[in-house]
Amino acid sequence: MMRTLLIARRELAAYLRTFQGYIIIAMVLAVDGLLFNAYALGGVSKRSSEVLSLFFLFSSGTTMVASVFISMRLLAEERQAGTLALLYSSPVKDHEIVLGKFLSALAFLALMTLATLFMPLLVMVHGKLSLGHIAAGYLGLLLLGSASLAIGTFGSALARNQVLAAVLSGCMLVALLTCWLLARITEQPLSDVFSALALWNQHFQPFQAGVVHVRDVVYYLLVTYVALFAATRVLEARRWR
Amino acid sequence: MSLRPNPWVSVLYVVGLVALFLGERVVGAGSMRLVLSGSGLTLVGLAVAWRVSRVVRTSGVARVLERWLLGLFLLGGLGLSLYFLQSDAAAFLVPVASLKRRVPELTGVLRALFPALLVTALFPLALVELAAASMARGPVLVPGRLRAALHSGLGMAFALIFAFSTLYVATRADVSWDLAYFRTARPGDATRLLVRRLPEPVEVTLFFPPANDVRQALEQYFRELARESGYLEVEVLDQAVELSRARELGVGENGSVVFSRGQRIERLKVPLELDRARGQLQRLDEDVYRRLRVVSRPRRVLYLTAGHGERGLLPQAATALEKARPGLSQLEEWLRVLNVEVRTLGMAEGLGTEVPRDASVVAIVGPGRDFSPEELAAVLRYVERGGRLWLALEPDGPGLEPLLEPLGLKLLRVPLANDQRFLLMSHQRSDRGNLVTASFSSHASVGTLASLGSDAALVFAGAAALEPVQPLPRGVAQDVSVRAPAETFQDGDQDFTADEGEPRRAWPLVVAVEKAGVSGASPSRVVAMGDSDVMTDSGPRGYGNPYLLVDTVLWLLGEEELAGVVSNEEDVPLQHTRQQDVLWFYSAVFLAPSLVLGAGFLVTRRRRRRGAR
Repeated sequence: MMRTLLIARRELAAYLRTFQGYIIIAMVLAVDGLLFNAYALGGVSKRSSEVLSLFFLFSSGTTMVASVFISMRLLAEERQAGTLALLYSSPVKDHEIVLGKFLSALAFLALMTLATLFMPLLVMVHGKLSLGHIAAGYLGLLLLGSASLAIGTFGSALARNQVLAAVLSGCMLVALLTCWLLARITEQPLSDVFSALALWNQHFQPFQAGVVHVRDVVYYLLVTYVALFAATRVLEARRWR
Repeated sequence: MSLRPNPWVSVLYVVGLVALFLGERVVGAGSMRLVLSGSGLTLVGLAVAWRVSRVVRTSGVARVLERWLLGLFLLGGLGLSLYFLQSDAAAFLVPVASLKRRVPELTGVLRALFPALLVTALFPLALVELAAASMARGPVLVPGRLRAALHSGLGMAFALIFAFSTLYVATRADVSWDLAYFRTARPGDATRLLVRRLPEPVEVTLFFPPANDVRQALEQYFRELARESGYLEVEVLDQAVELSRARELGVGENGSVVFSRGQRIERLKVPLELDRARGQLQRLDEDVYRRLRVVSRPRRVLYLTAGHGERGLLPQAATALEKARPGLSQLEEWLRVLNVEVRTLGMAEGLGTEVPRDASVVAIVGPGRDFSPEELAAVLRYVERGGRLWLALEPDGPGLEPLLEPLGLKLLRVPLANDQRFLLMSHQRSDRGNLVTASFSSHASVGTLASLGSDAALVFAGAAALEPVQPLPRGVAQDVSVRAPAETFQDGDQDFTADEGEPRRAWPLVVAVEKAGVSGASPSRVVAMGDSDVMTDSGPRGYGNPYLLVDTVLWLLGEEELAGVVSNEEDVPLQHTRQQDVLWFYSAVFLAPSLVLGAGFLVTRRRRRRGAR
């Protein structure tokens, strides 16, 4: 665990010591702010809960996109730069490498997501908001981000370079996102399986409305677990490929 | 004999499974299903037979590999068998069908098991084939690498099975928490004041079953309210137990709150389920306030003049000559809360001769045409004998000078606009006519607004200023209770731009006037407003307009001591001024990202400096 935290700390410091990390946060904030002003607040006046729900809707999109960009470098960059072999030769286990890198990316994503907190708080100026709704929305964003990052980590483990990692992660995310479409065209029990697999449609919307379901929390944690487990297996595959 | 690894056996096996999937799950019925499922089964069978022949023909490490692969094939085959046992194809197998009848849970178990077995077979199969392929050109197969691949595949399969099982259990045993906005209203200032000034005891009887969530919320509310005065007696009963008391109060079932004072009884129905009662609990204070007023105070009558193009209770649709006009239904709603009845007053109702004796207030809201001299004389006589008059005028309407002059007022018929502080409604330049102000005096007719300050700004749309005429007539006392922001200008040419000759000032928008009564009559009270839209339904929610209306009515009725905020926890539509809009936009889109970039610049620069040292 200590080695995992050591890797996580080192990686997080790499995000925050370079200007690149701040540019990513600033860009996400600007896009979120633009969407918040144009769609959540703009147009006909909406109730505060509706504005908040729209904010979380847009933020979920930016979180997923940001997750792909954050995670693409995690392992693919090491492989591209040829430093992965150094990691292999160090006394660190594969799952510690994956978990450490994932935790650093998650911490960075959490920092980025929490930087948008002032937007829902702005709604409180004239609206009636529950802090519970805000907390539920952010919990949803963090869980969605965690699942997306884990998928991105898996993509990064599979790919030889960062661009390919982003493409692979994007494809996997889109496949999971569009599961709800498959659920509509298939019959039971397969439709139930696809519906339960859908990354956003079934599991994020309750968070957006301020409702926390244990099943949704479990789903995102499981997606994270399976994706990280798969990423670890990919690293281990060097032994038999 | 030792054979080289051949991936085509597994490919044949997987193609067979895909054909089976298409036949059973995509096509599902008819001859096509037979063809696809039949050919799928045949391919799977052929692949298994091929694999068996390879096991027989190989030796050494290759044989170990072939055995593992055969084992995985058979595991998949077992999964297929379980699938067919729970499918409609099992109808041909009579003993199994009867077993399913005897143990109905069996179908569910089989449905869960067959995909688990297939996953357990296919993942290791794929990875072992990959490992074998990577050694295909090598001189020998390395058993350790094959074993690692097998374990890796089994691990992935088990992880997936674990994930699906856990998700299934979590979905079945789901627990949820709704954290969206919900709060039962607490007693507001207005209700507390009303209770404090109850002239006689009022009984509040709650009919709810024991251990009910709604009952608890209501009990908490009334317990807090009862602390204000000993005259409020609260009792909680179960209608099923206290039948005679319920009958006496006219209650047939639980879920009622009864307010009674002697023979005066008011009832409030509240659903017993918390989910259904939420909306009502959020505006409970308003409902309680209304009923308490009805049982504790006499009913008053407000006459709304008609016949001169005034604003009516109902909205008016646009015509070829006039644009659409919003109604006063929201005002009527507030007046109902105050136990004030609204009636119309025109020539037909006798306005040409006299204002009815039961009039507590006469309101003239946005007239479009002049009143006849007889009507004006009747209103003037009413005011002189201590009447209460509410005037809401428009720049393009009649000036009503005969009414305003004795009060020392003059309507400046030039619309006002503000290019800095205005409410965005249509996102057009004309929005500059929507003045937003929080400039109030300490007069009782704006008491609540003054206490709320900028939290309850008012919105006036297309207002004109009311100018006090100096010197004031004898016995007249004026208070400019609401003023426009200082940068408001008179927009003579109505282009919503401040041109030369269009002065900027804090123009008076609402003036409260008290005039000494003639020959011993009580003093009359008049509130004049330079805008009638402030009273209509077009006024935005979330702003202080309702407080202006309620406080004005209470002052005109002589009940200004009861003015206060009614607590309402309902969600409201968000509306913001142009200034706030600009502030929010720049802070969200530019300021926050710039701060992050600034922090990044400082951190990286400091690091670079340290590095240079």
